[in-house]
Amino acid sequence: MDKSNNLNNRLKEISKIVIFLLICVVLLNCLSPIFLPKNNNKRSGIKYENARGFYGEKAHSIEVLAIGNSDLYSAMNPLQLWNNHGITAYVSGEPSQNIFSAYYLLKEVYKNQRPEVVILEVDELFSKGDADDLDEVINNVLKYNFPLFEYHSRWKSMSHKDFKNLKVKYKDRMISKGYIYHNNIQSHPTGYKYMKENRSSALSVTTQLYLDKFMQLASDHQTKVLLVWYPSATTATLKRHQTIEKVANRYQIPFIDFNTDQYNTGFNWMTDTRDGGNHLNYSGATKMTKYIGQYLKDNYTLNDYRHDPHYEQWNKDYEMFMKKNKLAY
Amino acid sequence: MEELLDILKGLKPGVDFENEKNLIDDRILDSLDVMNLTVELNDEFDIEITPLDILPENFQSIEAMYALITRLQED
Amino acid sequence: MVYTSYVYLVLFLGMTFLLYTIFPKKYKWTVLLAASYIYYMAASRIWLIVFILLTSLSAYLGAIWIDKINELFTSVKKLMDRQQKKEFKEKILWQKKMVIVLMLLINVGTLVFLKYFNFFADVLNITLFNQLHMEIPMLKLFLPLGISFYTLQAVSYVIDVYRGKYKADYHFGRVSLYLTFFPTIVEGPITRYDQVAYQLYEGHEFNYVNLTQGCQLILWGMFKKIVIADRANMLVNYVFNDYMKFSGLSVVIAIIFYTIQLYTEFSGAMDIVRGSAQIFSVELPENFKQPFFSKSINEFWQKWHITLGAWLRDYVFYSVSLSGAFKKFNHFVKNHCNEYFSKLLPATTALFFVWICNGLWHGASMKYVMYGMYYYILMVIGMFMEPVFHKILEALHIQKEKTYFKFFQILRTVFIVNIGMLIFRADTLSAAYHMFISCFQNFHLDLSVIAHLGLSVADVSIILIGTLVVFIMSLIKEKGIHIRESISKWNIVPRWSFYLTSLFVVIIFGAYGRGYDIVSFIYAQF
Repeated sequence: MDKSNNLNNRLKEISKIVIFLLICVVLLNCLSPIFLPKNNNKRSGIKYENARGFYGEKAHSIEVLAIGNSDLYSAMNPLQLWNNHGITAYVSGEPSQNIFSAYYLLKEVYKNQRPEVVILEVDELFSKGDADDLDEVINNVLKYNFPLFEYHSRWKSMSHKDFKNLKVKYKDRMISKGYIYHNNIQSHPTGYKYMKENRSSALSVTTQLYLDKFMQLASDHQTKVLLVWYPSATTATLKRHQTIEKVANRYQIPFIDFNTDQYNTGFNWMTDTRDGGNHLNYSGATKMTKYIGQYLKDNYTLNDYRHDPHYEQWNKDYEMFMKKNKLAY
Repeated sequence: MEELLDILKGLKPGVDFENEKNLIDDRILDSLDVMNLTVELNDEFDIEITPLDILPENFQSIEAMYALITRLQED
Repeated sequence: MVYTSYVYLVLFLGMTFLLYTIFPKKYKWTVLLAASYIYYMAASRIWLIVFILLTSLSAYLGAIWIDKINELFTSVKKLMDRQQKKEFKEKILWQKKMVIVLMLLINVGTLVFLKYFNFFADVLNITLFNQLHMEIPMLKLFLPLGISFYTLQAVSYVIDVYRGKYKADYHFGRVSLYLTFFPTIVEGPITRYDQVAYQLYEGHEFNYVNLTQGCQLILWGMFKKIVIADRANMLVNYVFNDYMKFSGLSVVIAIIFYTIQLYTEFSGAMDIVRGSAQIFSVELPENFKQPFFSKSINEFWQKWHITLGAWLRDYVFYSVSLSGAFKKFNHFVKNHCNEYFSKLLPATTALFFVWICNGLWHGASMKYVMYGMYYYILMVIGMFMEPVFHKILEALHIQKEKTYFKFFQILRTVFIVNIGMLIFRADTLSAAYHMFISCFQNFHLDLSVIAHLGLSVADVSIILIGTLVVFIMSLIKEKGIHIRESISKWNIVPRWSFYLTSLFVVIIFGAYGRGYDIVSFIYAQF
């Protein structure tokens, strides 16, 4: 008698907890659309609008999508690819991005784009360890399912419109296609010495798990993945190169590492970095992009859209970008 | 008992030690007073009050202190 | 793996709780011990675990050793006459002392070496070796996570066994769990063996009240930490990192905000810690009891970081003031000084050690030594001047019992504490001095300066409203009301609405995510 009473109580308590959690989920679902930015720009509450301009491009118009951290958006210029080869590329780079947010960002990309090639900048694969990575996983899962966690700070800028109209219209285009222009020089005089430095070179278990999910997601959408490591004097080492080499072999995908091989780009640590070796400047990005463009052209079947009237906007964006940054074209 | 009362009065004049029963809880004696008192009692009664004996209940009232002293003297 | 992170709150705590619940009663403690070691390795460097193992082992063996000596004494005691007994007792005492010294050498020695070597080397280099043209090299040392906390716990355990408060524990798992229990390892509270060891060891069945109240306490801690403290942190950093640029009210605001930050963050952390333990039906001691309602600094320190104060009282203050050497010193003072001095001098001398330890415990720098000395000097002045204050009050016909006087005392304490916080936070002593002086320069009562201190008006409003909420809660607690228990008696609709609102206030108004830095706990570095 006592035992069944006890069990009853236990069941009652557990169902109370479950109901409470369910109410939390419902509330998160109700509140999230209110907090979600209604357009894909900074004014509406998107933190890194550069990475999210692909929404504004015509559906299924992007053929090459690059994903990575700040090293990427400093080193890859899609408009140069456009001008030289007519390739439509977009750079979804965010500062200190990790593979977990990269995975969910790629999911977003597939909502309106079907890239042929996804370039993954591998610098973001080296993390602090599994404890931090797990934290980031939970963080990203929560943010993806309940955008309230990502945009909660919008309470400061929200108006009554956010409550009335819950429809999102992600229409804004980024003229630079995600590239961020810098033309100052701050040399890195010691050159490639950093390759010998001793940094932890193993990928965490959590990172490997999500890298696998990332690859699976891409192959589900018939996208080919290309691994690239742009020059980075603050993170790259020879051991780390070997780690990625193994990853590339495992998935049987190509890996271009500009830290171990210059591929005759003429890259120079004295003139091509803007902050002493961490990020590249425009000169560096031009050299990198020139090589990547040729590589893409040679190895993938990509169309040249330069004379396609549907893509007229890309020519205009190119001109605007060059004018805005006072570059000769 | 008389001796103890004298010491207490010397330590904290103006407190009604005969009738106060919550010297510690009412914050009439703080930890510094207790320490001064302990040193004095050790000296005066030739006993050894150890940190273990310094508990609130041993110093709440004059009776409690007296009990402590007699217990230690018998040891 | 900070206590406010998802990985701790959702994954680590959740998994540990599930395992704890399904394990058989007898082995539940192994879940806590394993979780504690996993936590330690995840939050720190793996090899640093050597230090905590060394401490656990030495405390465990040291206590048993002392116990063995005691047993030997009681077994042969009956066979001896009075004189023999006395001699033997002295011998035994000396042996016990040697064990304690050895134990302190190992543990406090490690702590002192790792934490203070560079500081003392620096001091010696400046004062002494400069003249001799010698120099002690600086070492690059790692500080194992929580060493300042678990060392104190180990010391308290062995000294208590030495004093005979309880017997040594022959169960290594229990001692080890007491020293490494994951909620307390990073920043306390500094628990005592007799308070928690058995609570941790015995298996507790699933307890709905403890689970829910523990979660509520964690939520309250999260509110204080991520809604108030992490937000205030931005303003505080903005001013303190660039203090030369500010003067007058700006500095005053920054100091007050730092006091708010440190209190909400440290007490918030303690709520998360105590909530985490309560989930497992383990009750940890309080570290704060509404310190800002204190009428004197003495009282403040009995309500602020209580477990550190209590530790210093039991193992420094009493050890010093009841030692043989001190007894002699006391005699000397009594015979050579007047009554007024002889009454105060012993206490003030013993207190000196307490405050030096308090200061140094917080960190190896002159700044923290001065932080301790600041409170020490104020307390000594208070003690010596007491008769004078008494006369002044009488002359002014001020009655101590009146509300306005108590109010004045509270304000005075808050003021003194804020200056202490300034010393605590400023980069160096001279920075603290500079900031203190600059409070009085260009002072205009123009609250609009707050808009220029690195925070938006909306953020400042949240801090002020949050602080008001904390204040009201403290008032209720001060009245002796157990808040979580009274809420649990509400009807389900208002009760759950209250919980859900609190949860979403933390989610929405928390200063986390993009645009805010993750702020690590201040006390985790000590």
